[in-house]
Amino acid sequence: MTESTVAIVGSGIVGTTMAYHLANKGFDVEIFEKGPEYPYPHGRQFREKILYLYDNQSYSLPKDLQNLILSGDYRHDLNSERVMVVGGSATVWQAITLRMLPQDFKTRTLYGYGEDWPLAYDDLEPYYGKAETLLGVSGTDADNPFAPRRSSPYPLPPFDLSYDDAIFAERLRQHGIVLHTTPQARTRTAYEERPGCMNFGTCRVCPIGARYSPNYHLQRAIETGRCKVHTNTSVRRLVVDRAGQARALVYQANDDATEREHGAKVIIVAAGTIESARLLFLSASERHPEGLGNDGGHVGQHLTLHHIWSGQLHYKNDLQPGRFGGYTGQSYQFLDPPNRGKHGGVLTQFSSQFVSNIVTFYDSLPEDVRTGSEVVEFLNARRHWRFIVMQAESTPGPQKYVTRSTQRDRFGDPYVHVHYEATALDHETYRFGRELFDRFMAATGADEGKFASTESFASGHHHMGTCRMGHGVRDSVVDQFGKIHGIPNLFVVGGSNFVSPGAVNPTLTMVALAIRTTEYIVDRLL
Amino acid sequence: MGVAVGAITVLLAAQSARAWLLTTLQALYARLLSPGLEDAPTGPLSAGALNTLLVVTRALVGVPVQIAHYEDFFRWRAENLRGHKALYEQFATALDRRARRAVGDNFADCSRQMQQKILEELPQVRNAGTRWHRVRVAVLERDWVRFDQYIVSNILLLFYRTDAWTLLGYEAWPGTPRGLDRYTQAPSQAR
Repeated sequence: MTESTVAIVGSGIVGTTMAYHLANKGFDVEIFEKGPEYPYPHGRQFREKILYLYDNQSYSLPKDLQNLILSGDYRHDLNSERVMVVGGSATVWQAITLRMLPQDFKTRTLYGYGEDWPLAYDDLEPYYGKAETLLGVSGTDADNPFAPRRSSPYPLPPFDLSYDDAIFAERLRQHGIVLHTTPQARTRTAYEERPGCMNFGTCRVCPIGARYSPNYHLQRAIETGRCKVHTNTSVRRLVVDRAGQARALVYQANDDATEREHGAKVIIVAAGTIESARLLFLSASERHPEGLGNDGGHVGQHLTLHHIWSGQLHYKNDLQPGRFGGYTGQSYQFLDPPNRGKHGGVLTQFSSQFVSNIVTFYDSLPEDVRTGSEVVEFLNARRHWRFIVMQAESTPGPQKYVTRSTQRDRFGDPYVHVHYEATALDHETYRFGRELFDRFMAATGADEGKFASTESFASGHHHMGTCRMGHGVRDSVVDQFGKIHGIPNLFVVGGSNFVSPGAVNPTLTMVALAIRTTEYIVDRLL
Repeated sequence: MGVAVGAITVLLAAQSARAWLLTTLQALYARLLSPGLEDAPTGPLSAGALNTLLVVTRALVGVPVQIAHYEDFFRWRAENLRGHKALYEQFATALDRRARRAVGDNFADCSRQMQQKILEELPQVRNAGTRWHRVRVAVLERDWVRFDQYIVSNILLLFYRTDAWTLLGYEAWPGTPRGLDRYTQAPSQAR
């Protein structure tokens, strides 16, 4: 059996944040990552994807390693939303880094839905600042009167509104709507060893590291000599001894027939919302027959996805959208609307990718476009359309959960079954989002608009809940530091801890929680 | 009673077999219309094949383009992705054969008009009308289906993501370092 002081399952943004901090504090860390290496900076991926139109499958895991069974309302490929490579989903994210509102932590008390978090915004606020410093967030609150309070400034100045967003901002202002700049983990100017953004516009495969990837800090953790990463390695279960302490994890290289054990003083599961729950299920034992942390039956429950509906607005004038790769304009104004409780809050964002994902991963030409002039005509028509994104909070519900499946992976371990049905409040939130869309359409002077249907919502890869935090076994899986109730050295950290999602992108909150938990582990356990 | 049970069993079995057959045929049909590449080695393109590909690019797109990134595209794919070198060489040979049959010249030596005419007349599954005709094209013109899928479509997609933007008045296309000054200002060349 091998050993380290800390073992971490998952090399995404949460796992690498914790590994980086622990290694720099002198503790040896080993990370177990199911997926393959993912080169950083992402110049190779940029060349393959953007210059050579090549979708390199060596960055993907086969279905007999990464899979899930899905039922219910969700219509997209939930499995492919989980990016299992070194660095995880934040190797391809849009890097929008937003703070939740204080009210988001108290939805039960304030609005009568969901549950309250066991911590308040003020408990997390200093860690939001540390997370923003770690990721190099460019932003300002000067133009956002709805921003929550902060005790430290943004480390980098904001990306200005794009030309077209600035026009919209003025039109919206005349109708009482605030469109402000978007805080993002993209370097407005050079920061630490990362160059300033050069606006390649292919942000999902940023070739220079301006858009933050966790691999940046993972490399630095490895350079300390105290961090090691096992790639293409599946953690099959966690072992808890008779004293109730997590003793080891059992892992297996994906192409190896041999199981091995790795012991650690502290074990951290940072495998994402769905896979973290799965690992707890797989770790069932005589003492924990329903899985680790599941004595109260909460593992896999309280799953929430963000409900993101896209709308398209058509303008007669050519505003030449798409000249900046990231997002510039968004509005916090509707995160905490007057009727919250009847419906949820909504984050509104204009997408500068005027033809959604035109140069990233998903766009292709229709089959009947066969000549250069037809291409130009097709592109010309699309650039009069702007995408507007309504990102809505959703509520936990009894029909939103992760459970064991009967289908199994190559090792014989069950996959999970994800069932997801929108609640009545979710449907009311859609109606609110639709009303907002109409308001934006009228205020910005669009002559035509199309809005997504209620059932077409996408999650934006924002998966939350399943190992939610709380006060004890009766209401949760972990405490406010992600420590599994009853197992003092086993932690689950990340989006899985969320009690309620709010409407803002979850990653900054995940990193803040990760830093807070790391400090707790160092202070109390190491 | 036994007869009824037997009849129901036979009916269910027939339905199940029918469903299996339908699924299998649908899968075969999809594979037929999207053939893979042969597993041939990578390697540098011949000068002739590369030249033909670039001529095809210019003819297909029909407007002036910065040809360098198309050349880079074909070279990289031939040298890094199995099957592409062979595909490109086969395409160049097939086009020359068609051109010689039509006007007695190699493709690259034809007029632009003739090049475009030849490209327009290439067998395409999507234009084949009925499903039967699509199958016929996919079987009898299998090479052309590959050429269309892996060459023609890629040229148009690359154009869509690059030169088409500058043709519409953008200063530069995504994938190039465009800087942070211009995107906040009025477009300089709005069309």
